[in-house]
Amino acid sequence: MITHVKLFATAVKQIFQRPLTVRWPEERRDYGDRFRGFIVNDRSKCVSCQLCEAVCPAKAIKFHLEADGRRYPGIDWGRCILCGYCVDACPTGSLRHVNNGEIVWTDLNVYKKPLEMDPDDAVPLPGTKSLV
Amino acid sequence: MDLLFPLSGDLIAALVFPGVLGIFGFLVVAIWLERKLVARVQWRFGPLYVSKPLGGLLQPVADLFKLVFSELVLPRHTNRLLFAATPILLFFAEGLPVVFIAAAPGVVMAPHPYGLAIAVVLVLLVAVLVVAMAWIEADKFTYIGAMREILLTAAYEVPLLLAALAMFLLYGTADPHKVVEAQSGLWGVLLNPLAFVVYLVALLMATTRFPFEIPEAEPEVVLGPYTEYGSTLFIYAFGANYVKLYVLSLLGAVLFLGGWLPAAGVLGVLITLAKMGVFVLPAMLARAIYPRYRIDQALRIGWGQLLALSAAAVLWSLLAAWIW
Repeated sequence: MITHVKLFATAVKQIFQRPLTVRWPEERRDYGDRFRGFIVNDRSKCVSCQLCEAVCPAKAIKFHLEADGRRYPGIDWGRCILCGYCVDACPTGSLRHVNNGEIVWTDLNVYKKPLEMDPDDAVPLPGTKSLV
Repeated sequence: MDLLFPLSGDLIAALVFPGVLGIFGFLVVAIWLERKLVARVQWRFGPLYVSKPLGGLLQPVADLFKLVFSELVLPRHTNRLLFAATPILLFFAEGLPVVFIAAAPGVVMAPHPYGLAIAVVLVLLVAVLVVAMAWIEADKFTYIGAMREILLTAAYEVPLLLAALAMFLLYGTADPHKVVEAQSGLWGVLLNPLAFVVYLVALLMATTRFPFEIPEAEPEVVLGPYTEYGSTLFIYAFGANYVKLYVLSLLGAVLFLGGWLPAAGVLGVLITLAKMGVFVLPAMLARAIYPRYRIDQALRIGWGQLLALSAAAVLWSLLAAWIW
């Protein structure tokens, strides 16, 4: 009996405590700079070695021919699990995580076709709430 | 009295409280409150985005609209007339006991010297419809849910009846007005706390609230007796559970908490409404607190401790009535 009273007391106590979740999108979490968000490619550093394609466990990366005659990796965001293996495998450091996990695609073609993401599109919105 | 109520008391009872408006208002508020309370216990916000200034109060209304406009599927292998009719029957049958319960002096649809006893019996009889509904759906999950519902009903109905009986013995009447008058000194919960505890646990079992949410255990049998329903029929089928909670808390407020005392009229109705919270809030909070019992554990509680407690409550009442 006393156990049940204690259980209810704990529940009532927690009702009056502050929620841990945030009211997205008015509030955003600030995850700091080392957040493993979406992955962008710096073409000036890319040597088209295809190591990222080989290491990708989700088979999300495909290489495609660009207008400058070279092949670049493109990520299918429907498959990518944001594990960061490609970032670790990249010998020149051209692939990198951006500090943003909230990107919305308005067109399914852009989302599905393995094209690169423009780093400017992946600039994160500033967080308003620090991580608890 | 006549100044406060331009309509007659029975009409107020039928239309406003504890009748139609009360039941449908309770559906919205109870579903919102349940989600909100459970969310707050778990350090979440709960429903928020529909009607933000009201704290998401209109979320159940939005869900209701969504359900009404979703596709209604009537399976071909069932008796389709009964399939469509049973949830509606169940919903209104669950609300039926309200006819005999008074919310304030004169605010009762059918005053009857055995009103509360009839209400208790009606609550227990309606459990048959849940089983009928599950049977009509002809599905293995509903079949298992129906079996569990039968077992659970058998476990709670004797203690519930005995708890009510204990209070009737104590007051010497089952008329809602006289029952409340008898509590003008001390409330029923102080006169017979054993019966109150039994009633509260039996209420959780009867409405299949959380520690006893066995018939509709989601990870095991989808939604038990409610599995096959969608759209409007789901509102009726699943809302029936909340109507039962409404009826049982109203009955409990009158039986144990002195109903509309110490006021009468409109204020009395509001006091009854507030006292219902004593039953409704623990039932909502239990969802965030307890895990689910296995059916054999629930049966052991029902036929063991709860039955013994309810028998002790009847003895207590007999002794108290004898000493008085």
